[in-house]
Amino acid sequence: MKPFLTIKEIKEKLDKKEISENESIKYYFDRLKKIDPKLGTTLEIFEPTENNKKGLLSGIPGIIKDNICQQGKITSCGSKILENFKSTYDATVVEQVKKEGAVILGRGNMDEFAMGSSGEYSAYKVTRNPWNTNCVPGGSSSGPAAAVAAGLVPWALGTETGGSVRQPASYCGIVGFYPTYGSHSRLGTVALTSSTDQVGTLTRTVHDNALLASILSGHDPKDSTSLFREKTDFTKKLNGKLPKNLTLGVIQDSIESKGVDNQIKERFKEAVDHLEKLGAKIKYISLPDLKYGISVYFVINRAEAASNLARFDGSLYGMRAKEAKDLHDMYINTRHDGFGQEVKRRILMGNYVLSSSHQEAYYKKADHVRAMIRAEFEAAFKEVDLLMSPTAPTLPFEIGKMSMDPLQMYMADYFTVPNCITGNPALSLPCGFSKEKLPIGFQFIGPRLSEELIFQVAHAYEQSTEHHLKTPPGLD
Amino acid sequence: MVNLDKEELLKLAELSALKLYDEEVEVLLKQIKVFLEYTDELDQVKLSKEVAPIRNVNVFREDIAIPTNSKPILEQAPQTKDTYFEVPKILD
Repeated sequence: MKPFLTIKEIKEKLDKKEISENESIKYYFDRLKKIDPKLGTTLEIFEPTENNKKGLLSGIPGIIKDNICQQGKITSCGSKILENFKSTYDATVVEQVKKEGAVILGRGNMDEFAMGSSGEYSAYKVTRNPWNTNCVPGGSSSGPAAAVAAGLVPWALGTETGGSVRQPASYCGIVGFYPTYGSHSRLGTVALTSSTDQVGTLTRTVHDNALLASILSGHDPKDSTSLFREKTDFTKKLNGKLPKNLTLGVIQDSIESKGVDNQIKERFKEAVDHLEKLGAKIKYISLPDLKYGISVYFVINRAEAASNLARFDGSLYGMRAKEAKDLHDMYINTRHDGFGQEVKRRILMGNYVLSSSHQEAYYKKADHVRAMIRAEFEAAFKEVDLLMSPTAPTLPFEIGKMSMDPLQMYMADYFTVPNCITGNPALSLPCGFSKEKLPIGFQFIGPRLSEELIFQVAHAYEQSTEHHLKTPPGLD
Repeated sequence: MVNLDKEELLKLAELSALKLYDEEVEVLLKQIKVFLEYTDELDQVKLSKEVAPIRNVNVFREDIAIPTNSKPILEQAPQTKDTYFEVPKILD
């Protein structure tokens, strides 16, 4: 075995009997134990257990973000308030990967309750970017993204609410995917913003991502927001070619905006040129309401978070503060001891925008503008098949540099938020590096239910470039 | 326009079941104001009459009782008595 293998490559080795399933699992377990202390990608590493089921992931282990329930394991959400909480059942997505033979090797580190874009808001430890350990890996799926990028596991499951899979994927030079809202079950996934939360997939290549998304596809009767969609094999159409008569739309704002790093603009333009050479027709599309995405997201995310996090009060599970003279006192003390700064900040903002005197000015307006952005996307998809933009406006920044400036940090989600609030699928993949050797990613955003096309186009780009073959230094 | 003062923030904290230290109050006031001022850009948006906010629809399923073992769930509770969750007193 050697590091940085893809799911597909491991599968080939297993099929040819070059290695056994147990050897493969042992290899990743040892590698994770050896290298993880340098990067902080997990909150716990599990001794491998036997999985009797056989399938697409037999002998191909992964890690799961710590806000997705694994039976009998702690699910802390990166927070002290759930430091001792053990899940009593498997999330549907965990059941799905286990059914395919997967062995799960750990709980992925994350920003507390998925609130953050850098991995620095974990209550336990900071995750480091494998390409430069002084830099953040992005967030909130910080651990899952960094672990896959460092070749500690070939795949990971994360969650995304406004960019939490794609943005760390971009910062770490791997592939991250947010499906059409309602495509992946959320049973057993801890809620942040219920109207945008989805489980997302993190892998080294587009093929592996399509495979993992196929495993998570299909309707879940236990999730009332689950779409009535058949299980689909998204790998079927991956032939390395663009479909005929493909029109791609470049989001104009993303190449003109002053807020976008120049190196990111350059790499993105190269990707656009490359796709044109492959035969795609390129159109430049202006989406004027997209710039309100962050504001709309601010309001909706805080409002829903404040409601969703009301349940953590120390009465039924998790941590309970020791000192309390009555019930309300117990709630307050538990939440005070258990929640970090960012969580408190968002709860306060959420309850502010939801209070009766401000609801009209903030929440209802945001809800209306959200529908306008959705209409703008729908109009754009009458002209183009997919839209494109950089995934993040800035390069991975230094640890500690932004954590005192929340507003600046929130801007990291500028390009990933709009399609989350409208429920459109999107995939981020590498398109090169900065002169500092930091990864740069770009994304395809598609109409709802266009996963197959997104994977096909991204695969054609990836297979005709070499960015995905680069690996971080010093981790062999 | 944002007008959030210390008194309102403390009231919000109380309603949110959060306790704030004195030194936290000033920092949070400033940070929340920055956030609210940013979102004030939504005031400039001319709300479209053709596009209405998206409305959710409830999706129901049959209400079927499935036998569940409550033991592992109760084991997660900070304090229990027999088959109940135990909490501090509610009324004097």
